[in-house]
Amino acid sequence: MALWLPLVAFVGLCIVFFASLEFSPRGELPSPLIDRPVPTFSLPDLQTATVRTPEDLPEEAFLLNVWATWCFPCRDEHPVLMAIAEEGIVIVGLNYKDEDSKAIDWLNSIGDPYQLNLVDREGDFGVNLGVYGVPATYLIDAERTIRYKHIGPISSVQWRQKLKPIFRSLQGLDDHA
Amino acid sequence: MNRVRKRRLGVALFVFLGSSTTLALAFYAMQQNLEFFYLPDRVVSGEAPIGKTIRAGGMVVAGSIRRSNEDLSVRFELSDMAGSSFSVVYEGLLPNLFVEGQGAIVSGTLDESGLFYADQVLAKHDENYMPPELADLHPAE
Amino acid sequence: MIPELAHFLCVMGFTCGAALAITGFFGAKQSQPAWVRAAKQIAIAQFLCLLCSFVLLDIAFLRDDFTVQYVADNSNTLLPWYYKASAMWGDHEGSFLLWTLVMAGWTGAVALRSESLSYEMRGYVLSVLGLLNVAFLLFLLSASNPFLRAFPLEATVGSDLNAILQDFGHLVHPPFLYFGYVGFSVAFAYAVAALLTGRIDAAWARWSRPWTNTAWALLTVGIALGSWWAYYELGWGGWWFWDPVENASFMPWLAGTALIHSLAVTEKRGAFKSWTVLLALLTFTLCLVGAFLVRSGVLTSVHAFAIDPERGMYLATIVALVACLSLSLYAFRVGRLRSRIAYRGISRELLLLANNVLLTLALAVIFLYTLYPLFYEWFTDGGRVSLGPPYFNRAFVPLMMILAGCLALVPVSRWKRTPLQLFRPSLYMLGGALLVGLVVPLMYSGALHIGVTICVAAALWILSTHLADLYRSRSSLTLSFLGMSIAHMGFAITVIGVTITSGFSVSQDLRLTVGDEVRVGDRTYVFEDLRIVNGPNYVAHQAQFAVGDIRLLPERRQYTTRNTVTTEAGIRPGFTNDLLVSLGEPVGEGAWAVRIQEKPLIRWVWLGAFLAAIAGLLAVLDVRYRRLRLRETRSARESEVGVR
Repeated sequence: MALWLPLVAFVGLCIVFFASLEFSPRGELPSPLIDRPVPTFSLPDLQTATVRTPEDLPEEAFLLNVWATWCFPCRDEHPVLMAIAEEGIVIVGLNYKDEDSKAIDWLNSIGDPYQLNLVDREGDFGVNLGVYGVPATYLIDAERTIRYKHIGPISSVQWRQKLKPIFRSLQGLDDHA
Repeated sequence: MNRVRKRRLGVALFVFLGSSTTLALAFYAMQQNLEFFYLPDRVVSGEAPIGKTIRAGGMVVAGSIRRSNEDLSVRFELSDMAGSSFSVVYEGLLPNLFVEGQGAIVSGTLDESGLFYADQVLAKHDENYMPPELADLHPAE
Repeated sequence: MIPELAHFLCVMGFTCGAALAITGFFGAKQSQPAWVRAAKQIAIAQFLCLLCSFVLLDIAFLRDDFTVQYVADNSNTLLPWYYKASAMWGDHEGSFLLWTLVMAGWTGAVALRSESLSYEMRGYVLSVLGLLNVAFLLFLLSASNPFLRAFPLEATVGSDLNAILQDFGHLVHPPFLYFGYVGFSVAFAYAVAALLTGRIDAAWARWSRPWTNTAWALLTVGIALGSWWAYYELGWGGWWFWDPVENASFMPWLAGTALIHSLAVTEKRGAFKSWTVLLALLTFTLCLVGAFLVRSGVLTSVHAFAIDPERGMYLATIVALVACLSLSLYAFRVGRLRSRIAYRGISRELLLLANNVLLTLALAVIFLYTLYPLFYEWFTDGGRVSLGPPYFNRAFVPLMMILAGCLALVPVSRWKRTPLQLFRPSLYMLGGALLVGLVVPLMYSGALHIGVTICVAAALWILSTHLADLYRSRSSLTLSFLGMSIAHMGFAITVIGVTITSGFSVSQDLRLTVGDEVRVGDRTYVFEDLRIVNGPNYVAHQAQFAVGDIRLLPERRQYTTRNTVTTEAGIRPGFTNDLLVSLGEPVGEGAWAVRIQEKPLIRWVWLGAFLAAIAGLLAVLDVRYRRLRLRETRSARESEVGVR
């Protein structure tokens, strides 16, 4: 009888292992903003100071990148954004709680990957967008609906492995096409 | 019962009693010393016990890190995405991967005013890894 | 072409494994010695296939072939060549390829060095090993294939190896760990073969012992290297965290240690048979459980591993299959064994029994503590808890101290029965050890410390009884006896190191600017300079601290490609004391967070472990086993002839 104990114990253990794996994806709660249209806004353009509204957003799928000059990880994300822009992908910037002059200096000195840059000096639009950390990047489709949110700097690996396939599907293109 | 068998029974009994006592004690000690984990909403709502060592975690709110000018005290906010956040006070070295906008776990005690006094701050280990505790509030990664 | 060729060779390795499993099994079952001899050739072919596959993929790393996804994700053009080579096992896919290669290596070694076994036993052993590698390779090829190309092909410089892995420690730590883990598969296969043939006897124990010793020694080195690496590379002076990943390697080590000792009893006294078989099965199963825990991410760990539930599912299936099949076999077949052993007073058998009980208890406690969060999550539907290191220590240390007490009596004990008067000199030694143990904490802190006294005294007692015994039997030393003594003394040295460094380390976190002077412990540290240093693929802030004439140069490195920060502590290693300065983050106004530590006797922790490992290998070289092998080879050959 005792000889079966180890087997019984291990069978129990294996059941726990399998059960705990069921937990592993850990119920991904969708963000409240996913699959909702971009909240309305009227914000100044960084370069020209003209007031922009959602009507001025691109009419194709694009990235909305929240950034700031005070944000250390943004500096590391910058070359990745430059590379993404090189691929011909439209990136809209949201300069968040920053100073215009610093932001313009930054773009002039290390390059400007953004087709359009909005200024959210007080962070009001950020609240509507659900920004709680910078950088953050939203994947938005041609209907201006938010489809995905990435928190933290985008690394080249994350871009290639995760975000780009999603973005391609928003563009209506298959990844391998 | 002969002497050999009696002695062997003695050894077996001793081993059995010793082992079960040890395991029982170990289990008891564990029950006393578990650190429970709470997300920010449960810290704010008062479900987390006050004065007991617990763990809590969330995303470090951008721009919330305030340092002292004299020593290594630091104060920052941990938030979930849904609008709950609480303040943490800590003195000591922060882990390398402690970055604004990224996940962190703190271990320490909560006081009546809702301030969390951390003895330990843990941050995730690399950019592809998220502490499983925080996966619940992190749909986008 | 190279990665495709590597992929093909890996598939060949898989085929060899399957062929090995089949020929070995039926060769043994159908009494076909020729098949078993063929199995030997297949085992060697399997090793060569996987070796070439491994080397070819490594060449892809050295040549920066970023069209291979795994290379692109884990290497970088800027890495020095040796890190490019070791980036191979920097992530899951490559390390699993290493695992299967090591598995094939052990299988090949068994095939070459098992001439002395009966063809039946040999066939089963090779068959089990082949079957295990089939399972691993199936997993590798289907769920974590490192040979795949990156599509679409794009120009890249590679996304770099995790910064923490760019280090000598990573070069050597995982391979040794795998040598150890996988090495226990040999003891496992021997146990399964013994259950299948029904021959669980002293000869079986004698065959298993050298293999188990070797695996144990390599695992010991692997764990010690891991601890040493964490100490200097994680940068904060910690060397053991009771982290689930560490526990995953420590649990098989405890089981393996118990196994080595119980094999000794089975060989010498024919006792503990069914228990020894169970331990052999459990040790390897625990290695697999460890691999599962590490790779599936079901437990929170400070270690960085890419987590993938699909892989976890596969590994859990392997664990379940191995555990259920082997333990069912055990329950069915071991029943008839009855060992007769009589305990009279304190005999060597009794001490070895105590060793096994204590090690198993320690294993059970760590197992419980490590897995409890898992159980808790399950029972409470997602609730989360954790246990801090103090609780591990509180349960683990007392058990180890009782074990140390038993260990000290080993040299004087005899098999069957020990005359009581033999113990008298060791009691005097205990008195002396206690006296020294009393003085040691006074020396370090000027105060009494009962815990330190007990631990140090136990360790000194072990050292003194073993040294006395070595001196007494100096003219008739055998390698296996010498090995045992050195291993025990290594344990004692580790105990002293752990006790002193845990009890009397000094650590202070400070806010310092260049020019500041601080006193920590008995020394004055001057923050002399801070400069920026450029490495091949990182930029670092390097501080210069002066302690007397010693200069310590801690760094804080920013790796450019992955944007990760690592702390490189400035360490002045010493036999009696390490000085350690770590540079934290800048805290404003030119000030930096700095941790200054003194760690007395920290080196002894690893020194003891390495001594024990060397001792384990010494015992394997004992002439007794070699002579035995020759004799048994002859008799096995004769019996084979007889069958034909």
